[in-house]
Amino acid sequence: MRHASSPTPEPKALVSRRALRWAALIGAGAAAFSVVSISVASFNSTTAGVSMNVTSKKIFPGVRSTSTWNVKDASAGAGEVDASDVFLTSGDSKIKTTGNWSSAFSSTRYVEFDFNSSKAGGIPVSTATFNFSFADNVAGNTACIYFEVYRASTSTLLGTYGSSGTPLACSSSSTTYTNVNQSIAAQVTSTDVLDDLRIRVYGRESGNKAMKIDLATVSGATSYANYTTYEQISRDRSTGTVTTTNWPLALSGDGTNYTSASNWATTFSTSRYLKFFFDPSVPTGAVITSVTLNFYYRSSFNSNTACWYGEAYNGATLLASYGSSGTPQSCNTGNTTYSTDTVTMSQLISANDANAVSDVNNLAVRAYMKESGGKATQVDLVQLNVNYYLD
Amino acid sequence: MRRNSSSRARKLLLTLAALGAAASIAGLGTFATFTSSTSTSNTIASGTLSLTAPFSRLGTGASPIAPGDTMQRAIDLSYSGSISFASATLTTSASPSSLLDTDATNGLQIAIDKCSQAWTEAGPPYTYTCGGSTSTVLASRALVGSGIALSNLTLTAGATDHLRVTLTFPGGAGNTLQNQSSTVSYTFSGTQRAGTDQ
Repeated sequence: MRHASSPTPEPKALVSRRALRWAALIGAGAAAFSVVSISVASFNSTTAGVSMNVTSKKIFPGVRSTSTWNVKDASAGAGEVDASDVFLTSGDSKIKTTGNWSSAFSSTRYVEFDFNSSKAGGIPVSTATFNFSFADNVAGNTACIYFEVYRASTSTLLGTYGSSGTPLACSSSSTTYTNVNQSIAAQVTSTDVLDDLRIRVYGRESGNKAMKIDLATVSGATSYANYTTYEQISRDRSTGTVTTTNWPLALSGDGTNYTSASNWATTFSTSRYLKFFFDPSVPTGAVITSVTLNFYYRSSFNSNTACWYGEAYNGATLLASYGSSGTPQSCNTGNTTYSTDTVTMSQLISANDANAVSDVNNLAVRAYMKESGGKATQVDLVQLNVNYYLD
Repeated sequence: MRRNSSSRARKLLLTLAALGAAASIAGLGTFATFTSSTSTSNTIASGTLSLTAPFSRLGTGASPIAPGDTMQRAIDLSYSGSISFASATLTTSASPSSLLDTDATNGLQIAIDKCSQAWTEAGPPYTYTCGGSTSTVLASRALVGSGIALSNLTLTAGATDHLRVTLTFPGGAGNTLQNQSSTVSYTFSGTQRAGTDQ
């Protein structure tokens, strides 16, 4: 265009500048392509991919501890007396009578249960159910309840069943118990929650009287085993003022203990013992690598000496003995310090017992005792510790 | 005039493009082989680059594992071609995947070391001892990764590196890693050495 406007046309160029620019560009591009191709070209080699499958255990190894809630006391030598936790089972005539409630629900009037944490963590839980049995303490009156589910460690409210306006259940009888079996599966979704569970039951009583509680447990299933969880701390705040009761055999050093129902003899007798049942809910197929029993005890009388030896049973089958009448497992003098015995129950591990899971799940331990002054004994802790895993 | 000018430009354009292409071919030719018709022949052939694993335990899985477990698997990497390598990398992936490979902290960790001679194997479960000297090929790290650089390999054509892959399930792994399953794939890759005068 420029030359078109020139009054004196310039000599005609052999090649227009535009064409020259295009040609240079293409040529340079081709040359550059060849250089780049050379600079990046290289051989490489790759091994054939190899695959490895890795699977983790269903339940990692770990010690799970559970106390005993089912206790039979034969210290008198005249048969067994049920000394179990009052909330363990219904229909056993062992009940908890609360304080007097108000005739209207109040946020400061409740009974509360902290449950034990004996299950392997991190396992999905299904069908968790709160089992609660109660009755009015006065004929003709009516007691009603609703409850809340909490994480015990954080006091975080997880869910509510019923309300002050619409109670979950009522009882208008002082003799027939009302049974509540309320699913709390929406809140208790794993054993992590189950092992950290608190349930608070709000109540009212039409005559401002007490109510009776016969049962407070949580039951359900994991993928591997059924379970029941038991309370280890209960708080009665029915009156508005709290009274805390620890299940004495579940916690050591808490200032509570179980005192034998009767005085012991000064010598061992096969008819005088305490019997403890456990419910560790070890899954079928689990491998048990260790079992120990904590048994903390003392005399109830200053300067007297209490001694014990033990036997482990599954039903009527004697599995193992720990000490004997001639050689007690241990002795302890005085009523100020507990003997903190840990008994290794190596007969119950999988390596030594083909029925280890069954034997541990159905374990009953008899503690035969004698007391040098013929007095009662005090037991602070009975705890079974089971180390197991599930492949 | 415009048509004639345009026509010349096209001719010139084609000419220059052809020259450029010729130049590029000539450039390539500098790396090619010439033969002559004289009695002396000069045959040049390209080398081969080959990375193989003539021996491998990596396909042997492990289950079920618990925190604190380790898994050792030996693998021999052979540079069986005629060209040495400049570097080698490892790429790992998982399918199916789980927390065992996605949890970089509490999931599986991988480390690789090399023995100057073949590892002495025991088991299963496999464990290995080195009768020579050992060196670190890969320091412990999360299992899954792409193009993970490997160190201290021989990489020389015709040589073999005796490697021991160790997977560790950290002792701090929590219950969320229970009942998990992953299938992990391992692929070793090598790149040829830089070009040299031949």
